[in-house]
Amino acid sequence: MRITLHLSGGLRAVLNHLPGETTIELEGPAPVRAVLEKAGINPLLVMMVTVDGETTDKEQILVHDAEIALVGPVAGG
Amino acid sequence: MLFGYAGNILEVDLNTGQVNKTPLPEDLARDYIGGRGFVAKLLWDKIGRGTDPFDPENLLIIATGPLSGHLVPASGKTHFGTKSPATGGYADASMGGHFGPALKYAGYDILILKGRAPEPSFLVIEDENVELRSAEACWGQGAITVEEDLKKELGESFQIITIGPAGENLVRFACISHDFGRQAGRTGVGAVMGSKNLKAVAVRGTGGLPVFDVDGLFEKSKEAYKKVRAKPGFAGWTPEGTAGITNWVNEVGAFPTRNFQTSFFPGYKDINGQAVLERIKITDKGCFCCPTPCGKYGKTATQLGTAHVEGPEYESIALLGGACVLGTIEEVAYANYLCDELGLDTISAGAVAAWAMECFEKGILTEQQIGRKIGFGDLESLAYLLEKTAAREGIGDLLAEGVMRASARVGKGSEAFAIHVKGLEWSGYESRNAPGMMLAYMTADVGAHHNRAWALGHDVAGSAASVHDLISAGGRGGRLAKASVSGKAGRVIELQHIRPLFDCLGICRLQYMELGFEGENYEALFYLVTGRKMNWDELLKVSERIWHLTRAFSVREVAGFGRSADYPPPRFFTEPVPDGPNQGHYLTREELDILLDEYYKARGWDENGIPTSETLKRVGLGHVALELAGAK
Repeated sequence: MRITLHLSGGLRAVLNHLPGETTIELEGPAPVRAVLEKAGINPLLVMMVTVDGETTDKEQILVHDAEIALVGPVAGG
Repeated sequence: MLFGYAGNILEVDLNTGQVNKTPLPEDLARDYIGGRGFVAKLLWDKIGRGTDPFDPENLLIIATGPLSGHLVPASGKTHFGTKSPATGGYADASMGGHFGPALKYAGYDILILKGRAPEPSFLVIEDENVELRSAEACWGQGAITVEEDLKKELGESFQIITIGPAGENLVRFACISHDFGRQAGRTGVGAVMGSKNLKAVAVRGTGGLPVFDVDGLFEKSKEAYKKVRAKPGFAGWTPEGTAGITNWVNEVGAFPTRNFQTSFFPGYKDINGQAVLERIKITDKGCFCCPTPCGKYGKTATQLGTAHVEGPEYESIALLGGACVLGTIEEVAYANYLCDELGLDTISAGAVAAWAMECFEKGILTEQQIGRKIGFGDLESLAYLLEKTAAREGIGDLLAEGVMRASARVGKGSEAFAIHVKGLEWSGYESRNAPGMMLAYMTADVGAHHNRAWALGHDVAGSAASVHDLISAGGRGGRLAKASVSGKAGRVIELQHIRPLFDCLGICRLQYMELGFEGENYEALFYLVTGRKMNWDELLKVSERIWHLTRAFSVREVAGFGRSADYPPPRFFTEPVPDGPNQGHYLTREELDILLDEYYKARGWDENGIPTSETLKRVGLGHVALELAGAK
């Protein structure tokens, strides 16, 4: 399974050693949280998650290839 | 020609109604860019030393930036500046919407309001025509109601700012409202407008703006719009807007709960972004030229009534919801509506009410003093306090002074949990285990406000190793490790230059900060609009100059201003967080001193937090150094 992670500006600002886009290969179903850890991203730094454009949470189980957008810490208005 | 700018300053003497139009000085645009920069420079130059914030000689300055009103993403920002009735020092507040663009189309980059109208008035600006009219009929009415009435009277094409009863009654944290839910919320700018007997300003402009490269700007703007909306995070962030961060702030133990007694609110999922989306929102609402509309206009129904309201956005959720412990998003939205109509800043109003609730809980304020029983989690209590405050009736006259002054009067230890810095109430991030964020609050030029530097994400990242271990071990929201204190100054200073830069340019920062719309895009847009080639670092140098100037303003205007003004309330350095992810953590006074020592040194300020003469000269503020030296 091929998972592509897209990091938001807020996330890249605090994880500036990581590229804006990262691809992770998974051998079987796994939650978003596990993918983040495999990519070296502290799940606590991820504020919101979308999988293939749908808002979800870090516990969603990924069962096939997916494009994941990660929104990092952002402030209020 | 000054490309990008309207090219004029409009000054209105409210004492006489006299209007003065002067060209925008080129050196002002060059050295201070616009918006916040204009405000800082003009306040320094034009306000007499020691002027009381409510004296007619205080100024209310409304300034746009060079990108305001252009085809640039989110170019609807307007900046307000004055000497603050909350802090006595430098004040500014930023507002979204459409007012700034309209002011520029009318021909003005800056509107300076001075004096005091002899009777309640409102100002109408229609291109060259500027007229002061009587506001007797609408004095005392709500800010939203008046905006609606003036739209009916003048026409939909007018953009209008208003104050509510709180501004009229000089509540020190009154805001200025616009577009049925946008506010210049902080630092008491609405009270200064009220002190000038000015209920509203309506503006309509029909002119254009000079652009250096029209075709280039058009192409770049189209590209920018698409780029922003294609950013990872757009689909996740935009639907809920800022309310969407409520979950995360709780997960990292930074949610101001029960007057900042703790930093985790167990019921946060009833007041989060999803709740706004599912139970409040009717439609998205964006500011001028915004590709990412974060406003959520909706309707709420509670036991106190129903109301249409924009929001609540995160800060209102944090202070009206968390700090006052309201249990449902409907209640938070209703309290938000009351603040908007009364003309109260939701952040300070929530903080003040929460302080009063804790005073009552501890027996410091009695039922007799307050006029009824009050308590956390009770919307009726909160509504009562908000209405009394806006009217300055009974207990409200005390609360209208803000927590710093109110606690000084009440005493009995209430100062320890009056949550403010410099007299401005703390916004939505409890920071006892977030030293970078704590430092950002301590050193923000307007007081405890997050929008100068938001370092919370960096604090969490800084503790990544231990947090990662915790999460990897299967933990969910367990106790976080204590964050390290040293080495925070550089990041905070960097953020203090970046975020306020957007307030100079006249555009919203969210596309850059939250979605990662890169800095080089702004360099290009700035060039295409103004014809000035300035790279990101050069723009930030201007922002740095302004930072030193605003500090110098408070040094000049606030007696004894210095290090002592930069500490948070004792709660934050004496009381460990009682529960939640940061249970047991707090920063000691010694740790706060480490933060300040490193910050002052990196800034080039002395040990008391005063900018040195050498530093001021280095950033092009030699005249400020001379004046400060002369004042000693």
